[in-house]
Amino acid sequence: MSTVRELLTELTGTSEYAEKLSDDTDLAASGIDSGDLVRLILLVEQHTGVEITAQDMEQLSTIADYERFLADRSGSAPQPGSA
Amino acid sequence: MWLTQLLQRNQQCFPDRTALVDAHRSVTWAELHDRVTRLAHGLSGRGIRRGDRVAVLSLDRVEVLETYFALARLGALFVPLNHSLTPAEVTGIAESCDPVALIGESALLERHPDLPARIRVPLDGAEFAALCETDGPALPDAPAPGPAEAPALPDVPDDALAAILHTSATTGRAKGVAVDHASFRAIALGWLTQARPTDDMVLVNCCPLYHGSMVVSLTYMAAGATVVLMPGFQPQRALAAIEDNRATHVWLVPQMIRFLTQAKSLRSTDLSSLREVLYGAAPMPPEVYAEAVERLGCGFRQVYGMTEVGGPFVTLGPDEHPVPGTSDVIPAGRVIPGMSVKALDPKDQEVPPGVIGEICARGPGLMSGYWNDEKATADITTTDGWIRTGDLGFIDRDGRVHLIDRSKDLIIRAGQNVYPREIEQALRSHPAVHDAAVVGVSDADYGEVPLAFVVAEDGTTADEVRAHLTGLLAAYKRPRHIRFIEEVPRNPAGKILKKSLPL
Repeated sequence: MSTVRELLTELTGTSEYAEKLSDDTDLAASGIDSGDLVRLILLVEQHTGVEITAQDMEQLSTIADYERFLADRSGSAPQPGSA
Repeated sequence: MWLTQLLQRNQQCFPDRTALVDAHRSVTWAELHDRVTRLAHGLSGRGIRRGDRVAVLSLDRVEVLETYFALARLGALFVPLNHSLTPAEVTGIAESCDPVALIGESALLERHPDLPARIRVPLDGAEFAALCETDGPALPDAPAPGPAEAPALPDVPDDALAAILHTSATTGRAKGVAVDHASFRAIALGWLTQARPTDDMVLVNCCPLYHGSMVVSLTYMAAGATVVLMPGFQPQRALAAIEDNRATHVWLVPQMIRFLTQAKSLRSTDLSSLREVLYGAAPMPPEVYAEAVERLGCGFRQVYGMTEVGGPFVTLGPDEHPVPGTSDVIPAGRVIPGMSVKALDPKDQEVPPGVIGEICARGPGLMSGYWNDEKATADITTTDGWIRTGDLGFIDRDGRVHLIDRSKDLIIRAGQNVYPREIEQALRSHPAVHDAAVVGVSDADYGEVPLAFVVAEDGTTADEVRAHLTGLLAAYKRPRHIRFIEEVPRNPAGKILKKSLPL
């Protein structure tokens, strides 16, 4: 399971939600509580040490977006098809 | 016609000052006045009349407030809908108000194709823009004249209803709080005597415009402030909005403040313009307050209010806030001029200063009543016209209100009211659930969250129960935790003994 999916499981208290999401599902429209989306971004910052700005958030809608963003920030290219 | 007068005064006094800002654009007071007048004519041309209800379904944006002001200009009532509710919950509200029109963002309107309204106007589409900028498209039977040749818009008295704002209710069907123009005026003028308005105020509003907290934005607008609207709360975006707009004030709930202080971008954000953080809708945890004072470096103003009382009616200014670490309790503050507050015992007798009772309020800010619900209105009102807040507390000898507890079975999750009974009803509708009890438990992020105790058939899983609730309850109402138990403890009358639950 990817880092973002693990964090979503931690946030929602159930793995079912994170497992049924596709990489390209718009998280904001997926039924998750808006407060949990706020917490997701804060958790990503805490777990990875990466700062996420308001500008960065324009490109963060899906799990794939997060994984790509984190891969970019860590200096490694995203793997093809990775989430 | 307070809302119209407010707009006319500001376009006269500050025509070139920015009135509203959102993610898409900004408008000056002159532009806002002009667009609202055109929109009022356009909506009139679409057949909307005084007394009609118009539902508004949108994230916070400039067009939402333009719609509110235009409907107020017509004497029609705006009915904001909480976009996070499920279709069934929204339909319940719409049915009780019988709106003639539904105005909202396209994506949200598409989620609710069955809402009963004969007119639908996407406020992010060309039609809305045309209504604001020209005389609007005409209906076949109701040609819309342009403002120049239009008949005068109606003269709306202050006791005319302006809005129906919805609050959570134990039954699962939200209650509509009907508010008139005089209520908005009373709260705004009373509040501004305490808030020390200045000509350079810029308020970043992080709270949704669909419930009672929207009165805060209308109040600061009355003083000519610029109000910056956020489409939803994200700490990083809120921080950027403060810096980009040189905001002097920001309005949020304590849990949002906690998130702000956790965001990494706080360190690099210029907050030097910020003078006051307005907070309310939920108790302020002492550790969040201490952290925020240190990290945000500005004053704090508490906002204690209730939709039924007209919005914010008690405030504690920056000078009266305790030094962090010196007290675990922050008083709610003093009542604003024009409104009155007292604590009543169970026999509705006023208790002396320092003695705990139910906090009650009276004055010209009070709601006109619950929409089409005289019984509920009578239940919340004393025989001499005081509204019961449901909060237990006392008033000290200096007139400060202190909140201690709640008389209602209520969970406040990040500033949103959630009634356990509504969740229990939804849980019991699952075919494998025999009984359920819900309590609030403390949560670092949200203040409180629902914990559900469920009696169910063997093999029932928490995920199944959660899936069942998805279509019934908005996400913020769903239990954060679910525990299965053998039996819900009840007294002989059948009342749940919540203190006997295995917490």
